[in-house]
Amino acid sequence: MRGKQRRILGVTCTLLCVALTATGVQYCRDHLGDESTLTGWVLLVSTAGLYLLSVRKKWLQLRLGPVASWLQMHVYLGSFASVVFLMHIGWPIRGIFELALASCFVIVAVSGIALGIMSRTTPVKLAAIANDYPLDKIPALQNRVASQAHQTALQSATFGEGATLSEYYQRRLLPFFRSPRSLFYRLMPNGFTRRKLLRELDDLNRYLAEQGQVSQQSMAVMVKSKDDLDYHYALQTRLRLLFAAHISLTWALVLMIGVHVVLVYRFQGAL
Amino acid sequence: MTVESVEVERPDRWDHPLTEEMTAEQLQWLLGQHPFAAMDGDRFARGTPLADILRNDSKVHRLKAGDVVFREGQYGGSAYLVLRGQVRIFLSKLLANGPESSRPQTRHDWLGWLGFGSRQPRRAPSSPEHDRRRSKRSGAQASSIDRETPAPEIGYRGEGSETRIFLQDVPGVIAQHKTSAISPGELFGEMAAVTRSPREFTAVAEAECDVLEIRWQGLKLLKQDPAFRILLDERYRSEVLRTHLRETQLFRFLPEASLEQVVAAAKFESFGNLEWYAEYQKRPQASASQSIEAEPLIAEEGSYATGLWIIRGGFARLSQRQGAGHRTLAYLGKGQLFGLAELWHNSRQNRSAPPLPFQESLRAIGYVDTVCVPKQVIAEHVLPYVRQADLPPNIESPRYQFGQPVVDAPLDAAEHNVETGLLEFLVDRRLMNGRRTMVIDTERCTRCDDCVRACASTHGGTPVFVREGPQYGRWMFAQACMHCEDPVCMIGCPTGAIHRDHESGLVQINEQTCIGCQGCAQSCPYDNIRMVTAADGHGRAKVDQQTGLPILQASKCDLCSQQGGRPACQTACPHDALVRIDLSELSEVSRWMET
Repeated sequence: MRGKQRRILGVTCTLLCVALTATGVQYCRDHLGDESTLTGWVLLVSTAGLYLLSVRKKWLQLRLGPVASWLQMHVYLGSFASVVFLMHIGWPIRGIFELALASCFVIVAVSGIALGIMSRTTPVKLAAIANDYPLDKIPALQNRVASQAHQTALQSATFGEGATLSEYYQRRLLPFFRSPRSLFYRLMPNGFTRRKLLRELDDLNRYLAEQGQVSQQSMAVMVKSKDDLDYHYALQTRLRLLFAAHISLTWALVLMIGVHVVLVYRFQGAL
Repeated sequence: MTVESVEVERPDRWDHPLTEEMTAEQLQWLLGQHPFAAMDGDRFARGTPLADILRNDSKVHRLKAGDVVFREGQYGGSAYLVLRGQVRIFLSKLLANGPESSRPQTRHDWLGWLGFGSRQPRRAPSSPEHDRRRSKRSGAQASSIDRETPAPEIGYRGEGSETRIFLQDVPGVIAQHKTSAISPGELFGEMAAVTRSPREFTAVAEAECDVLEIRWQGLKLLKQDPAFRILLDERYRSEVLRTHLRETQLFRFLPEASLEQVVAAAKFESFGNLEWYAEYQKRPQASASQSIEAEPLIAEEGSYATGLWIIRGGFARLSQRQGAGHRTLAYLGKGQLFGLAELWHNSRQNRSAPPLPFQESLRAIGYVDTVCVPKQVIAEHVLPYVRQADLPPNIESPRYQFGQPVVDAPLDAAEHNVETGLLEFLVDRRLMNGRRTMVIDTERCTRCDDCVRACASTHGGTPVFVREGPQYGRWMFAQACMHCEDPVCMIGCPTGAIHRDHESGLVQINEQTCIGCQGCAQSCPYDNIRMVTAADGHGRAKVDQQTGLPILQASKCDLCSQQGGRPACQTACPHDALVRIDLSELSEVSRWMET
């Protein structure tokens, strides 16, 4: 209920601010004023407001409320800034610098939206895995699983049924355990490889005796473990990379906005 | 990269005595006082002789009339011995929520609604623990006392850490309250120190007097003297029972004569092992059913309801048989009752009707202190004075009747909405001991580690918790100090470095007095205390000048108490995925589940 109330308040405030800005723009238009200056300053102030989240994160000892509330404000302020941005830019955009600035803003806004969506969906996907793996521990855990798999494959070669499982391991599972996953997997983690390998392992069953089947089952468990680790790694790094991209671009945006303001006032002869 | 280090002398248990002001003359005088004069010096270990215990672990306070020694609800790790003069203990509530509670609130409600208000109080005296105790105890009782007796006028004396609250009109206040006098040679306040629980009364100097404060590490050493140990144990049994019964909600409207009958008939019983954490740490991976069966049984379902059980300390599991196992219905903590519904039901039945047996089982989780009041006493001296609102609902469809299980009896609907699986999980892992447990909703947590970074930045670069821990469904119970209801980590500390904050009840480590013995880290059943290399003010690692080995110090979550407000980890979480909640209160767990 509290969250719902907060959402209603946030959306209402955002819509009010948009309506107020639109009224101001219309007033400028009707009175032959410079609407670009108005929207430009509103955009500048609201964009500056977006940086307050970073400031809050740096100064946690200040008693200024939880970061979660600041993130909510950041989201609403970002939505407002995006609308004002559309009011501000002329169409078509002229000039390479102006195009670059607009593109940067759009990329920051889109990455922000993507972050918003992914920070809601990714935790649910991560939580669906039975164990939680901290990102910094995943490589060590992957290594451990790979070593266990290697040991299991070596041992199975000594059993009576021959080298069926170890040959399969050498051919199909060794690259899976020892190599990093493809770029496509890292961008779009999925269960294709996992299902395929498990099916292939299952197909080996008919060639294995009792001990071999035990090895095959433990190998299947290891395939699942490795895939879980890869899945966690891919999802967590994807989110962190997107976050890093969003943050880096915002600093690029600051520089470009500064240059843009100077250029505008130089062009108007004010500087 | 080389780490700078500084050579220091390895810290010792008595490097920081309770007071530096104890003179040789004062010590000699103390040794001649009761009960120390009667103590046999040979009974004490060579490393901890009586004189050294008194020199290092005690402090003489010279009090003026009206000086408050300690307040009800405060935590304290010391016992007090009256040396001269007289001290009054107030058996009825004297100071409601501490004197500071009347100070006006400066934060507006709307700020709180937006999430900007601190969820924790700025000042400790109106601490959650105080409110919690009020809720567990009779709220009506407290209010009736408040109505009957005006709040005493108080003042402040002294400066800095020596600041004392004092009562303005001592004889007047004593006349208005139920009190008991403590004379020279008598000990008081040792129960809270020994049981790591809040003070159960307020103690005030009646006239000018000298009181010896003995910190509980010293008290433990003094127990090497058999006579002193017996004295402590006897006081524990007699005093605790009386105070506890007076505090139980059910007995609030009892006439004095009836209460005396209850006190006389009540039996004080303990179940389980006081050092349960040692067994818990090396517990075998038994099935849930086996581990419940192994818990000491306090009362069994289907057995004759012989009395009312009151939990005095620790936790007990309320369970019902289901299939081949047991289903946990709830866990009961301090002040909660078992068997009242059955006794109430039986008291209204015809004498010819067979009495209803216990409908549930009660088992000790770890270690439980209980008080049992026989059913006859409850029927004659208690039930006639209990208000309807305080009585349990009728047992409409009993699960046991005529000594047999009732076929097709419905499963009891729980009073809370905590799913059974979670309940079992909390109890099996003893997580219900936590009062500020860090719980992370993994379906909201993006694993950004902002909480870990925030913790590190507020603790000199090293986080004091690990974002890992046991998981139940979407909930992860991270490895951060839970500031337990029963902090067993404190038991073995030889210097009292790990202690409870007097006001807030938070478990804190004093870096100055921690000698790195690892006792607390080894005792913590949840592995929430870590040993880290001690550093000086310049960040240089301390090493032992004799051995060259690093000097270790215990490190754990302090809930960022130095900063005030919420802990940094919770403040920093951008997705509201991390909460600190009191798992010892099932109602709070239930509320949390609802949100």
